[in-house]
Amino acid sequence: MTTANETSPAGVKPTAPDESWVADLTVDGPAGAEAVVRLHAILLRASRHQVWRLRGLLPGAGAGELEDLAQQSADEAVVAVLRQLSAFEGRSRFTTWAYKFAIFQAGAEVRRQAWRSREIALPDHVDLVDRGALPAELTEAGQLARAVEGAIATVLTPHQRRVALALIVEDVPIDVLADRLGTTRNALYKTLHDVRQRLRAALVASGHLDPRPDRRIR
Amino acid sequence: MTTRTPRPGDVVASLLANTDPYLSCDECFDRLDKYVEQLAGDPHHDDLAMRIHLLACAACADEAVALMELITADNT
Repeated sequence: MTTANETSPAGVKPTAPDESWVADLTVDGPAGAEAVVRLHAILLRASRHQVWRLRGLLPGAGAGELEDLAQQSADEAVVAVLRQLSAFEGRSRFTTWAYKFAIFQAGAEVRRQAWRSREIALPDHVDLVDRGALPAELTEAGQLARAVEGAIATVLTPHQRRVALALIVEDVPIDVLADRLGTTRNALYKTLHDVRQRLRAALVASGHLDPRPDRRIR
Repeated sequence: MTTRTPRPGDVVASLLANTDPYLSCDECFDRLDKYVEQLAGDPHHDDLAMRIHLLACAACADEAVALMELITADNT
């Protein structure tokens, strides 16, 4: 497994126990300020790790630009961690809890940069089968695909169609699409969940799909 | 930047995936640290809602992988 320490500038490993982290980050004065510096160091380690593992999304970016992204993400993660500090319940180590904020910020920032100059297609339909094939020539998979095409056109709302096809066919990252549409990752995931339920129900009703649960996802 | 064009069969499979029980991205984020630590300690650990969400949401899944890599590095 590749870690940031192997591919990016040396990071700072966590050293303080959990109770010390929370106590130090909630005191005023030099001790609190020093704790924030330590927090920034571990969050920078996490954001560097995430930026470097996703650097393939930014083929033109040099080390300096990647480091800027990591620093910016760590700065934002510090704010997020301090804002959410009271929500830390000790269900995991403090560092694990804190890392996820930096990973979230860094991932979102890399994807935003990668898509910033790209037009996002919001298709209203998708061709899943060979248009030249006659019904009798379609395989079972082809018949299922044709049924899915029909269900997309008939049981989904225009918004559901555009969101599902942008995410699944166009491979637009969910947070990038949320930014462009002025909505949230949560809302889009819920839309996609509803789309899947509607399509499954339609295909079960038409006899194209076994009603047993199938959790395979590409 | 280039992205791959999904094969029609993959698109159909993804559109028809059963993503019950529903878990939002925010709920996944809330539970991610504990889930990843438990998985690191026991590769057979299972949380159905988390597992399904991470199969269905590429962004959350990517964060889970990154977090696992970091805590694994911390533990070595």
